[in-house]
Amino acid sequence: MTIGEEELHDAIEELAARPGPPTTMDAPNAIVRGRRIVRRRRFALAATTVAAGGTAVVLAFAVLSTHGTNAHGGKVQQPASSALPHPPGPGSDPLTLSGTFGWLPANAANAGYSLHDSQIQAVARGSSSIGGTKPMIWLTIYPKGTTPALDKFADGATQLRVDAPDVNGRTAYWMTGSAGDPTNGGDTYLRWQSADGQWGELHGYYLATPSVTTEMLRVAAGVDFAPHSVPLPLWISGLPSSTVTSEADLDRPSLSGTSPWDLQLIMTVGGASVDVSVTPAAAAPHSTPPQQVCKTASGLTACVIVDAGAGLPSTLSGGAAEILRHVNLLGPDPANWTTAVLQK
Amino acid sequence: MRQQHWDAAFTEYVVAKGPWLRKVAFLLCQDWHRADDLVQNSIIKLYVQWPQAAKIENLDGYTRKIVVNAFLSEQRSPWWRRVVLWHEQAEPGSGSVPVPDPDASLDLADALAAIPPRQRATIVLRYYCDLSVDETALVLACSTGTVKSQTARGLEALRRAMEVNTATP
Repeated sequence: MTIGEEELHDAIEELAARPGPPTTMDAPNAIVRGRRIVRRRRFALAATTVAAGGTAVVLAFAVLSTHGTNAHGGKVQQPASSALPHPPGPGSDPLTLSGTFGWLPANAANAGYSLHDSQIQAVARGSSSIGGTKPMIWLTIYPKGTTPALDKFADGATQLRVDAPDVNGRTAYWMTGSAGDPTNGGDTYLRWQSADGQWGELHGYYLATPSVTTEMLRVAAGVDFAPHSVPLPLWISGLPSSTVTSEADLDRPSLSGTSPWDLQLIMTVGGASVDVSVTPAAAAPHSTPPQQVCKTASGLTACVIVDAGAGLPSTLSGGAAEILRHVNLLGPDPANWTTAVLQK
Repeated sequence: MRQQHWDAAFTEYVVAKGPWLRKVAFLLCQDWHRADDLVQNSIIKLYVQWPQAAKIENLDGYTRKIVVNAFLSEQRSPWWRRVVLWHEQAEPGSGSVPVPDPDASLDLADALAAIPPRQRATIVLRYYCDLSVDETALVLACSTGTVKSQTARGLEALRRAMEVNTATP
């Protein structure tokens, strides 16, 4: 068959009109992910003003130095159930934060965690949505010695500082585009200092409460500025010590809303990218990409996908299937999860 | 409620334009799942730019350009970020919704898949999106001469591929 330009036009129209499976396009998911990107960029800008001569600190998720402690000297959480595979030794936790939530409002009480580009944040999300949008509160802890700067919002509006009531007796202010509206139109930012002068920032939206400022101040007052390693539902052995976790997300509930939580780790192992995801088995997707390998154990499903597998070290020449063999699952009960995630 | 207003306007836009973007993406990659991932990644990028993008006169053209560029950059990158998206979404209807037999357009889909990505993008922009040579050059950030040569080569490759497909029993 040969084809002229007119015929090609018609044939392409016909091809485009061909029905496909239901779309998986997800606007709320795009909003959440897009906000993460915007927030990272803003954080990078804000952290460029450094009061104590340092630079923006890479929040630590270093390899543990002693058995039973994490990088900050805290105790490693071990699985409580003897039936589950205990991590054999010390390990690092890619989700180690410089602070974590205390009190949270009832409509945003699910704390999840996110590591992207060396920045770790905690996020409190609501399970229920109001008009298709879930309440969210993001917590960012700035590195010690860093004073966040004011810049511009995404729409170009200048960020203004409006004094807020002190938080635990320390300086606090709202960051807003309108001096007369500390809630910034419902996209509310609060910055405050901890007892030792470290800056924290809350970003709340869709809170749907008549007292947004009161709730934000209460959330801020409850934030604990101590290092906190987030227990995760797996541990992985056999990875080289040079492994770097570039992204980690523990979402509660999952962004798709089909699961109470899901976890994704993206690591650079040798010259390869390794993506490990864990979800409750009941919520695992029925269909997976062909290059992905999965297993189910202890009520959880773990999947591994490797890109540029030729860059894996020789000890992992078996690729995704071999890495999956090194993934140990700890079941759906968070009481059994561990902070010794990446075993030496 | 500035942020809520943005989100509502963004959602309204992508819901309205999603089917069209998906078709463009499908013509570029000939795979519905990959098309979905291309569109999803593209609308994330669109959201990041939304405060500025929403003011653009030809927002459809801007969004289409994001999709085309996402497709072309995916060809250059070995790491298809789509795997990230796969994890997040159970596929609604996978295994339960029949996909109609493409029949009449099957050979064109195969032929498109057989030609180089940049030629394919040129063909899709010229013959599906009805863009002029100048407009196509703007989307692909190349000269009009390049568009003309890519179009000619793409058409020729397409014809050859379809002849091969037809000749193959």
